[in-house]
This record gives sequence, C-alpha cells and structure tokens, in this order.
Amino acid sequence: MKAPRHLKRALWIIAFLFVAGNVIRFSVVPESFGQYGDFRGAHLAEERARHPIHRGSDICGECHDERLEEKNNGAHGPVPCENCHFQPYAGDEDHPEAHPEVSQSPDRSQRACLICHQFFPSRPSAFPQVAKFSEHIATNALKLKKEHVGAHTLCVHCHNPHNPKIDLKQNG
Amino acid sequence: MDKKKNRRAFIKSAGRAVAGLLMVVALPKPGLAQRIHDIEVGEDAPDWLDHYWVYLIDTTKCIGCGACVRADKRENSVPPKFFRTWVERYQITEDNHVHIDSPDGGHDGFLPEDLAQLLTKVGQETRGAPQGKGRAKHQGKVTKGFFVPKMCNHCRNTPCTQVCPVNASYQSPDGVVLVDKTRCIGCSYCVQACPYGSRYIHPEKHTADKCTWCYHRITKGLLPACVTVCPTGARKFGDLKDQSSEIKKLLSTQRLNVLKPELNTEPFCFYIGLEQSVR
Repeated sequence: MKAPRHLKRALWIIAFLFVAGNVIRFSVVPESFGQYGDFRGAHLAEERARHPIHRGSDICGECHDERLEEKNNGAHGPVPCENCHFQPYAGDEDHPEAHPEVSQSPDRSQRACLICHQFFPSRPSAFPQVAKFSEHIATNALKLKKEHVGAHTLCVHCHNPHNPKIDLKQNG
Repeated sequence: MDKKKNRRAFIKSAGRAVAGLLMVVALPKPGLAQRIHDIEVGEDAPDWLDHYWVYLIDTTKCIGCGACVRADKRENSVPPKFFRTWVERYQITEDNHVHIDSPDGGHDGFLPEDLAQLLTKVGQETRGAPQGKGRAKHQGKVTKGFFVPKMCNHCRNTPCTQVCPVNASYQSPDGVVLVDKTRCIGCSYCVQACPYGSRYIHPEKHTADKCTWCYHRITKGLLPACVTVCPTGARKFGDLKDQSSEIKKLLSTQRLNVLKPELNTEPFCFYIGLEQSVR
C-alpha cells in the first residue's frame, strides 16, 4: 500500500526537525554540560586549577624559622606573616626561595599598627587598643629613647612587631 | 466534512508529537528538578562530592582591620571599587540610631579620616595608601558597636542561580556557588537577584563575579585567603561532612544566625553574635 502524500510530507518534516534539533543541541550545549548538574561540569576543574597566592606562615618558616618561632610565641602569633609583609610567596613548589614579591621592608608607620590597634567603640573591648596615640606616647615617654620622642615617634621604636609585648620589669 | 476534521485532528496530534519530541531533545540530561545532592557518587567521582563546605563568622571577634578584604583582592585580583568580601561597621548611639559604614569596603581599615591623613603626612616611612571616604558621621556616645564581615552566603536555595538564563551560575556538588565565565553573558540578572549584594559585573571581563570561597584553595586542602589572614579567628571555614572538624563542633555548640533568614535562602554562611539591627 502506498502511503498518502500528506502523511509522507509530515514524516519528512518530523525527521528534519529531529535531525536539526539534535545538530543544534550538540553544537550549542558544551560537552560536559549535565555531568554533575545543570552546568558545565568541566568548569569545576577549571576553577580548581587556579594557583593559590596566599601560602600561610609555615612556608616562610622553611627558611626564617627563628623569626617564625619568635612571632608564634608572642602576642602576634595568630597574625600571619603575609598580613604585614604584604606580598605572599609566589614561587613554585620546588623553589621556595624564589619570592621576589615578598616585601622585606613592610610598612613601619603608625598606620600599619593602628589599622588593628586604634581604639574604636566597635572593637571587642578585650582587644589591645590605643585610644590616643599622643597620650600613649606621653604616658610611656620616660621609657622612650630621647631621639625617638617627638612627632616622628613610631610604634616600632618600642615594640618589636614580631613580639610586641614589652616586659616592663625588664626594661625598668 | 469528515475528511476536513480528520486532517485537523492529524495536524493537531502531529504538532503535539513534534513538540514533545523537541522537548525530549532539548532538555538537559539530568532533568531540571534534580538536586545536586541526589547525584550518585560513581567509582571515579572526584573528591568534591566528598565535601560540603560551610563558613562561620564570629562577629564578636572581628576587629575590622580589613586584612581579609586586602587578601581577597590579592588572591582573586578583584578590581578596585568592587568587593567579593567586605567589612561593615555598626555603631549604635545613645539615641538608638544605627550608623553603618564601610569605607572602601574596609580595605584600609576604619581609621578616622583626619587621623589617617595625619599619619600619611607624619609617618616618614608610610606608604600612604589613599583613604576612602564614606565614614558615617554621627555625634553622641556609641553604646553598642561591632563589625560584620560580609560576603557571598553560598545559599542552598540560591536566588541568583535560579535566574541565570544560560546556566552559567550554579551550585557545585560541594555547596559552592560558582560562575562559569565562559558561559556568562553578563546580563546581570543574578546581581539583582542576590539579596546580599555579593555579586558584581567585572568591569573588564563583563561577566558576573563573586566570592568562590577560594575554590582553587579549598579543593587543594587550603583555607580561603580571607580565613588564612584573619588575625583574630573571626572567620572560620570547614567541611560539614568531616565529623571531627572544628567547624562541626562550633556549629553544634554556638548560637547561630544567618543574614536575612526570612528570605528562606538557606545560607551556608553562619554568624555568631549577630545583632538584630544587621541587615
């Protein structure tokens, strides 16, 4: 029996749409789409492949172990090296000595200290804070060396940033 | 007459069949309703199916130093004036007014403008970073104050991924909301949809960008950059599927809250000590 012409035509149209739909789908939808959900699965690996920049303090201790120990035993123990030494280790895994971006001379101004230690009513009261820098210097002026007293007095003249707590008994 | 009717019926049913066939062809494989956690873990499954990440912020410990904001900018090359994470300062005065500010997202801390400028002039060795404006002006004694670090909440019921027309924004199997920049068309629907304001359109790439919980770090066993640099331990991060983790302990013992719980977004960024005035 010969199929009617209109039926044949409809079947052709359906077949064409099926083929065209699939061609469009496979050319537009990325290969890994739907691997883990409604997204391009390969993106997970791409996102993961980025190189980490901040490496934590331990990697600094591989060479500067004394400094790291001094810091870890002091009040600044929880502060990572990177916070003050700014640029973190950026060398590759096998050459930890290559750290051109690490700043050996970090910001030594009061700003660098006061960014954490300036008194704010919003700061937890237990956190060590300086309400007024000039008063802090005035009350402790006797302990300062003469050449440091004045407008250019810096926190680091008295406090060692790696171990900031001053033993008053020892210093008189 | 009958012939005509038959033809109409045939065209109708043929149309339906074609539409149905197209639906089958066009739908993505797993089906739209399938939840991420329902995915079967195969033999060669990558380890991101073994984790479910969670973030915890202790606002009672935050000192507003902005180290997290600076670290985030370095780690993820966030363009200036845009933030993946930022710190807000809340000051509640005697007259019950809530003053909220976040100069430069807390990037350079919250030093008063006059003091910051003075130090830039006086300190001989200072780098003198430009100080952002936008500090809250108020008079009267601050009776209550605290800092609130904010970022993407990586909601389980995400409003941002739902509106993405090209499925560029999605939630990964381990619970991190990510943006596939090769698919993103920069329509910024998601930027508007996010109730926490944690998305932005990258000014150069013209695609949506947001916090990824440093996905390239956490999948290598490191902590996110902001957690690594936090000097007071206000920011914590961990794996919910790791029963012995510190975060699991904290989540089960501390009094928790989330931002905007009334929106039912189910955030996976929890807060300790969140005040009711925090929006």
